[in-house]
This record gives sequence, structure tokens and C-alpha cells, in this order.
Amino acid sequence: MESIEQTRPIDLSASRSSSRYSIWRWTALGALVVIEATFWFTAATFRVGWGARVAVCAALALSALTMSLLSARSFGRGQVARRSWMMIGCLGIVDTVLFATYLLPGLSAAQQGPADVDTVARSGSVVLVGTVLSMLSRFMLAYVLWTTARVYRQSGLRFHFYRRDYAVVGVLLVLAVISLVYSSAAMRVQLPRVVTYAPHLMQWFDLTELARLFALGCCSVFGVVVWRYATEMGGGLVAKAWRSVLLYAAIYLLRFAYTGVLSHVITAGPPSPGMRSLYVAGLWALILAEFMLFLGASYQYEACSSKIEIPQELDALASQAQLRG
Amino acid sequence: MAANTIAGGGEFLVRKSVFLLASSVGTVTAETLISQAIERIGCTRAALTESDISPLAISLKPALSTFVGDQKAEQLTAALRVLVGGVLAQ
Repeated sequence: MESIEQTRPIDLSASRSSSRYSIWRWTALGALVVIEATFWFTAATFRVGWGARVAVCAALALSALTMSLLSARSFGRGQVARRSWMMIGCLGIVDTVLFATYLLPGLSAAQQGPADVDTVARSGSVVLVGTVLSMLSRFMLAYVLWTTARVYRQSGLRFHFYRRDYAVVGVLLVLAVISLVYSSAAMRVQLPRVVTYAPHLMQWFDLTELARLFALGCCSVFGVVVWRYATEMGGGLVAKAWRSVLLYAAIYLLRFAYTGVLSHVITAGPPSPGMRSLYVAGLWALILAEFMLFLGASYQYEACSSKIEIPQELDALASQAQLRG
Repeated sequence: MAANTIAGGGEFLVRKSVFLLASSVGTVTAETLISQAIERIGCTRAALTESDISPLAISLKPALSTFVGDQKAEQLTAALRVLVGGVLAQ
């Protein structure tokens, strides 16, 4: 039984010491901007540009994974949050693996001359496995959001689902449908050699996309519910963490729809120089999504491990709040 | 304590506790969890005294750990006892 007379010593000097975490967040954002600006103003080959962006995503994903696992360790065995943050940590890694598979030999349309059919089929199969993993990770995210919403409901937090929340769910579902409708166009642009040399893989890609649509739909509904709970929490690091994770999911979905529509336009008409810039903007969206995941993991890590922030003039603040009340 | 008496008892202690937890879990969550913990220890917000803060902290800890983990919940409830309950640190 815990003593109620004495308590463990605490570091009361610790207050407003969130700077260490903020510095890391701003440093990561600064590094992203510098790297992207460098590639914007220099002519790099497809593989170099894509490879650099894969490296950026990998750095963000590994950081997010580390912080998520450390946060998960802070929760007791059997707690929902422990499982949730372990799963969230894996999302970035899965995205990066899928992103990296496009660098496999035989896939790039920029490659000169005829391609080896077996190489293309093998590389295409690896991309398909990455896409399936990505689809499964969306189901995992939907499960995480559902269990989190359930835990928050059990904690007694108020919940109001407003009309604008229904509107947001509707917009997200429309985006999911758009990404599904134009996914084959996106595949045709991104994997032209697979379409030519291994067309049998495309039906598996279509099936995977269909399953992904269902998962993204679930993510959209549960995501808006968790967003509403995060808003009702009245600020705090935990709310920031969940909002960042939800922005990650929304930007990722937006990027899919955007790339799909853009690919449809590219395949329908003659290519123009402006298309390249628009396509790069889609890659930025992916990196931004990974950055949001990194932010979410960092906020939760800060919530679990930072020193306690003791408001200065605690008595005065409490008195003022009471007078206002 | 003087501040407690001047500001009007239990409600002041609740406000102080909410401020302490707000940066981690938010003001509304903090208030909700504290209100539930007060009910669990068989007290009311108005009747809350400094001597109730230690049992309140014990009752609050499992709910807090759902949001911020066991270690941080331990730190927060320890701070609650010292800064709101007036219990001396070991």
C-alpha cells in the first residue's frame, strides 16, 4: 500500500523545459526544408532525387519509431496506449519501405533500352508486397484509432460530434474514393514497366487498393472521432500527439488522391514541364505526412518522459480561474 | 494554508490541481479525471481539503497513466501531493 504521508522527491526546479523537444522538432523541419530546397534548385537524376527523399523519410520514420517505442514502454503491460504507440511507430517504417521499393531495378521508366521481364516481375512483386503491407498498416491505424476512442469514452471525456465533423468525414471519404478511382492511373505512371511486362500483377494492385479504401474509410471515421476527443481535452501534449497522428493520416490520404488525379491528367494529355513540379509537390506531401507522424511521436514521448511543467504563480493562477468561474 | 483559506477551499485546490496537470493532458481532461477521483474517495469538490489530496492522488494515478504512462503519472501525482496537498517530499 502506498504511503499517503510521504511522497517521492520531485525535481521542482523543472519548469517550462520543453525547449529540448522543440529544438529537435524545429531542427527536423529545418533539415527537411534545406534538403528539398537543394533538390529544387539542382538537376538530379530520378534515382538520386527519389533516394534522397527515401533517406529523409527513413530518418523521420526511425526517429518516430524510436520515440513511439519509448513512449509505449512508459505504459503498463495490457494498456491500450502501449499497443497503440507500438503500432503507430511501425507506420512510418512501412511507408518508407514502400517508398523505397520504387527504386528497385527494372522499374524506372527513365532506364534506357528493353527491360528484363523477370527482373520487372520480381521488382513489381516486391512493390506489391510493400503495398499490401501499407494496406495492412492502414487497418492497424484504424484499429488503433478505434481502441483509443473507446478508451477516451471510458475515461469520461465529453464527446460532441458536430455537423462540421460529419462534413470532414465526408470530405475524407470522397478523397478515399478519388484515390481508389485513380489508383490504376497512378500505378500506370509510377510503374509503367510492370503494366507492360507483368500485367497480371495489376489486378492484385487493384484488389489491394480496394481493401485500402475500406481501411482508409475506417481511419477517416475513427480519426475524426479521436480528433474531436483531442479537441475536447482542452490542450496538452497528448492532444497534440493525437492531432499530429491524425494529420499524418489525412495528408497521406490527400497525397494519394492528388497523385492519382495528377497521374490521370498526365496519362490523358501530353506531358508538360509544369507537371514535374506538381508531381514533386506530391512527394512533399508524403514527406510532410511523415513529419507529422514524427511530430506526433515526439509530443507523446514528451508527455511521457518530460519533467513536470509547474506553472509559475500556481496559486495566483488558480485563484484567478476560480474568480472567473 | 493561507492561499487555500483566502481563495475559498476545495474549489481552489481543484483549480490548482488542474493547472498542474494541464500541460500534459489538457485542462478538460485534468478536470474530468480529478472530479472522478474526488467522487471515488467519497468527497466533493467544495469539501476537498489538503488532507484529501494524497488519497486523491492515489485514486488519480491509474487514470492519468492511461494518458501519459506510469512514470509520468507517478511524477504528476507526487507533484500534486507536494504542491497542492502540502506533503513534504522525502
